[in-house]
Amino acid sequence: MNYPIWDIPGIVGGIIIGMNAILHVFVSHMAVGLGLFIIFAEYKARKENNTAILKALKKTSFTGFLLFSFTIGALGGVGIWTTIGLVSPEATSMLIHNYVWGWAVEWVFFILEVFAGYLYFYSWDRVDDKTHRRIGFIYGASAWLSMVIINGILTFMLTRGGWEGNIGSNNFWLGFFNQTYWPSLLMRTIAALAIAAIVVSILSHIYLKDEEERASVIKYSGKFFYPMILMPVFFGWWFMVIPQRSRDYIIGVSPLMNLFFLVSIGLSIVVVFFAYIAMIRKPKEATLSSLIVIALITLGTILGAEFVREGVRKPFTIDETLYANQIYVKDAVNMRQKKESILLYSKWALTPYVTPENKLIAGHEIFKVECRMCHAVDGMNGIKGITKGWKVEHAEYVIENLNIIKEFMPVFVGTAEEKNALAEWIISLNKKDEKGGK
Amino acid sequence: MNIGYFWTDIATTVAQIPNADRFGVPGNVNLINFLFVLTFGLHFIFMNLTVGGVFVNVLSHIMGKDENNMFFKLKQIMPTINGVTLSFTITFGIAPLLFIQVIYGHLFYTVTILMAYIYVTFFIVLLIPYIFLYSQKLLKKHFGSNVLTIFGIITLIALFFVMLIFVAVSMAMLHPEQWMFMHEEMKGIAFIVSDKSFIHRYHYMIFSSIIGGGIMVMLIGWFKNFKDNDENYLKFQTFGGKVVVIFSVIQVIFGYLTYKSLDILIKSDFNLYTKVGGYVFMVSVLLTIVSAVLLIIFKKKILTITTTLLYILSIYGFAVFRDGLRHTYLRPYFKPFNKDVLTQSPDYGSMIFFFIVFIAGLFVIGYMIKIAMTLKPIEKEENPLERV
Repeated sequence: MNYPIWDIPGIVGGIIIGMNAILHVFVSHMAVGLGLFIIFAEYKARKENNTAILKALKKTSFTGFLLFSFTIGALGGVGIWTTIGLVSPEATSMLIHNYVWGWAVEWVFFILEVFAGYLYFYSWDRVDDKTHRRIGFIYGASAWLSMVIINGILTFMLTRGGWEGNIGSNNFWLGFFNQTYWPSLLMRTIAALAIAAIVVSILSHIYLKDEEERASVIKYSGKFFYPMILMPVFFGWWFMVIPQRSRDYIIGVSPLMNLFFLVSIGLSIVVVFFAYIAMIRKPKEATLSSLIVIALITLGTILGAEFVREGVRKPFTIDETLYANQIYVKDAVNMRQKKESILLYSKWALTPYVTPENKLIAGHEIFKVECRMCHAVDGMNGIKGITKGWKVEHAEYVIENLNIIKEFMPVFVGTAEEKNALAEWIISLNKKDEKGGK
Repeated sequence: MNIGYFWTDIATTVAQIPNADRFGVPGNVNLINFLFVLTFGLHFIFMNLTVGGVFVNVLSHIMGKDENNMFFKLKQIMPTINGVTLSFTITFGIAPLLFIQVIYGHLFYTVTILMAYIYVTFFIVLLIPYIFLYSQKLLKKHFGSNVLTIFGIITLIALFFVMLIFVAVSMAMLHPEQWMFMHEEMKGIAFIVSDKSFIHRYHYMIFSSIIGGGIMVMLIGWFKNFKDNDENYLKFQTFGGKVVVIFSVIQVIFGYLTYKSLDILIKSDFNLYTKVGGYVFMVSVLLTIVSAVLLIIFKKKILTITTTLLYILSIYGFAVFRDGLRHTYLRPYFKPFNKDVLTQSPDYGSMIFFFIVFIAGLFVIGYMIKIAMTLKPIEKEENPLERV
């Protein structure tokens, strides 16, 4: 392990990233969806001289772009980058080095998106219609293209395609257009359109006084939910191309993953049904609170799907390359074969050796290096609670066969003494309580 | 406290520093370093326009009571402009943050982890300026002038805090010999700010950024002159010129103090690249002052442009000097331009793709700037939150 560890008591790193990601995923998809929405909606509105849609777009371009996308959305993106660097520096470094030109391309699209977004809002009624639509097109295209790029990097983490395990020699594209690239891009685009539809409807409800105008915009927005019908097809495609172990988690090997998957599917059916009733069939009767509920269900669907997407990667952060605990698979295999020391491999461990005197300290250090990424000591996924009632021999057996007993966990790397030190330290956590109880 | 007491020797430090990324760099390191300096300069320009712009915002809220006053006009427009430049500061900040990770990632991740609790707050604190700038813009009817001034002050403090974090992180990155102490104590920021050169660097950053406010006001005046042919806006340009002169002089003082606080061994080890950056910076700062003084005296619009261009040149001179300084500091520990240290495996396909998109992007931005320069005046200002 190359890096020091940011050890936050009671919390696991994934939660820090997740808290930030929840909002960012929603807002960033909203930004992309709104971009595509305005291209179609303004064309229709100008053609039919539909003032209701134009009013709604004007309001949306301020609240959706300036107030949310360029503030919370942009900061959330920076926040994710910051937190993944703190929590998973090895994975971040690998993705940065492999995909630097991809990130740089995304940055160009992001600049265009921000520039066009501001200009789109500030040029309402100040340029001719055609020019305004062109600015909207630049915004929409840049926003969607930024998703086209980021999608390649995100999907690479689950399925690395033809990537040959190094960089250069066209490896960028081999990994970028991997097995899950296209179904993911299509699913994300559909989700972005649905989010845009519900956001425009909510903003129209807030900003448009006239009931007829409001209903007409909500009804039009509702049509952007239609592509959701194709979601099962693209999901099926995605499901077929993910690794077998990932499919197993979803089907039932991991009850939590299975639960989130089912919740996500269930909510997506509910949201399409509600959206159809409230936005297309009865737009006049759609209340603000009902639209907010639809938005929250949409958010819940996305959260479930993102949780599954993140979870099915386990035990890797990057498919077959880097374990979730930031140890490279190649290193882990070599070290395990040779029974090499993990403490010597860890630059920031407080001790490089296990001795009878420092066994518990060494065990704690090994825990930080190999387990801390997903387990707190006492708290979220706390090792103390999980191992209650265990004996040292049992703990050693589980550690040795970790990846066999629990397929979604990485292999243990270390010497026999280190394995014993880790087991002793884990068991010591509950000993204090037992003594207190007696 | 003198941080020198906690130095570890070079061999121990080198052993402690994480290995550079095993995959190497998918391009030429010099090219990536060039892109880093190029984009860092852009980020710095927008950062200064934002911080200095918020300074002008506060000043105009304090002094703009009278409707005929120049500051009254300024206080109407500054919250909007500040919000836009802040967005661009963040957006333009992404690229240097990317390129620095490609070359110095292993050092960058380590110091940020060592300072994690403080470092992680920066993007949360950055929400504060947005909240208060939009409140100034949208809720001005609901609050008195004093409250709006306080909003501006809070914004300025938040921005200064973010600058503090980044100065501390970039400084800690240059001192791997202190990392073990930071790791054991986990008091990263307290440790770094106790270094005597820190305060000069930080002051330097603050005062140099306020020059951006002067440039911003000058440019507003120039643009209004250019667009509406309104000579009244010449006042903006001369006021902006005064801000540039005053804070450039302060910048020179703190620049000197910062330079003086550098270790003698570092100063004696500058290479040509660092020296050229330093000289370009010094000469362009002096010429910026001269150009701004001439603007104040002769009130020639063209001097707004020369002052701005010289200011941009000074920022790039500073960016090159700072980059050279980083190389000098890290020379005992890490030599990124040595191919044995940081392997280079160019991925030409994706690299060419980036440059094509980058150049195409410049054309699209040029097209949008052209539209922005010819926008019709606003007939009636609307509150974007009002129901219609």
